[in-house]
Amino acid sequence: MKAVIRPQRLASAAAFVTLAWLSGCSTPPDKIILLPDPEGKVGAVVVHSANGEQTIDKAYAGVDVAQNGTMEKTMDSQSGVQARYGALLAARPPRPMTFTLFFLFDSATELAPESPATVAKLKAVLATWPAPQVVVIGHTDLAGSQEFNDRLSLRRAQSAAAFLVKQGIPARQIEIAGRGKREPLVQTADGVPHKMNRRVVITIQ
Amino acid sequence: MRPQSVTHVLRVLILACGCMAAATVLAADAANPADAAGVVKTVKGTVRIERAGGSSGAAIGSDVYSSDRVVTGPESSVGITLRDTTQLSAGANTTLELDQFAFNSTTHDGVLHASVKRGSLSVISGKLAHANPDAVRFSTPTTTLGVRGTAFIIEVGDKGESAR
Repeated sequence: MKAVIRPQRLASAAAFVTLAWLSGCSTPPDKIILLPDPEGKVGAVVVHSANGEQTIDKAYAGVDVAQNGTMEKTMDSQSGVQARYGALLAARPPRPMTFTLFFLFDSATELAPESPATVAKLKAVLATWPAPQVVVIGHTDLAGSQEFNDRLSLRRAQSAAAFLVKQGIPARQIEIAGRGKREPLVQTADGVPHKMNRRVVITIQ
Repeated sequence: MRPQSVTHVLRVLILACGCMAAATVLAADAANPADAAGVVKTVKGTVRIERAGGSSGAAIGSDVYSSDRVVTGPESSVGITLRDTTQLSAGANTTLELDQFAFNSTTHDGVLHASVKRGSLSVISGKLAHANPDAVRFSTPTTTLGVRGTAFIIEVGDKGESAR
């Protein structure tokens, strides 16, 4: 009897293994691939599965994750990624662009002399941007109190926003904020006027 | 008497729920666009945005809200910029759920949780991941990703998983 049962057990065990192997193979793994960002920097992604954790931090490095959570590191290339994911990457939104307008000392309305050229560029970009969202942040130099500069920076942002509305950007797409003297472009001691810090940063995204 | 009062309570509950649902829909309709999680920037082929209370075709300029589900058809794609400048694109036959999104443009605090149920997604992380990496999480049926300021692609292998 024993001699008969054993082959049966073996056969069913083999069938089970084959089935498991087949089902494991029938579903491709989930793939994660790290890319350099559009500015060329490479960060890192930490991939967690039921089986553990892998960190990828090289351009075009990746991890394949099987249904059971098994992870396997991979290495692709720019051309490989382009061939497989070209359509996906082509669908990415345009990268946000920032423009800086400078203001005269204490003024919320008078632009520094070099600003009109920036304005012209801004208008050209806005004309072709898909559904532009515009973020306008006002800044000041370090002359004056925090409260005074909070108000001044907000007024600068408001006056830049009003200008953008005149250029045909719906007000509902514009978000404004004043950061006062908290984020100077050029670091100076408190109380020091500096023309590079009297500005509005406009981000189009 | 007892069954009646139970029925009555049920009716009141249903009525209240209905009113709350209506109020929620109204609130969503009246919401400032600044409260939208993001905006559609590119569309190719068939793209739908599904949310409680209905689904609609996506076009350039469509708002995307927290809890929305974005579904693309064959040979289709969509590109979305979130308010924190995170940039997403979804490839063909993709179901992407924006589980949770909040962003404070002053403090850069907030949360971004999204899951790819099927298909493919490319991500360029934004201000949220920069200010607070632990607030950003992407997941697939098999994995959860933590993001340390970067660009990456996710492709879900299981083509059989239905759009849910």
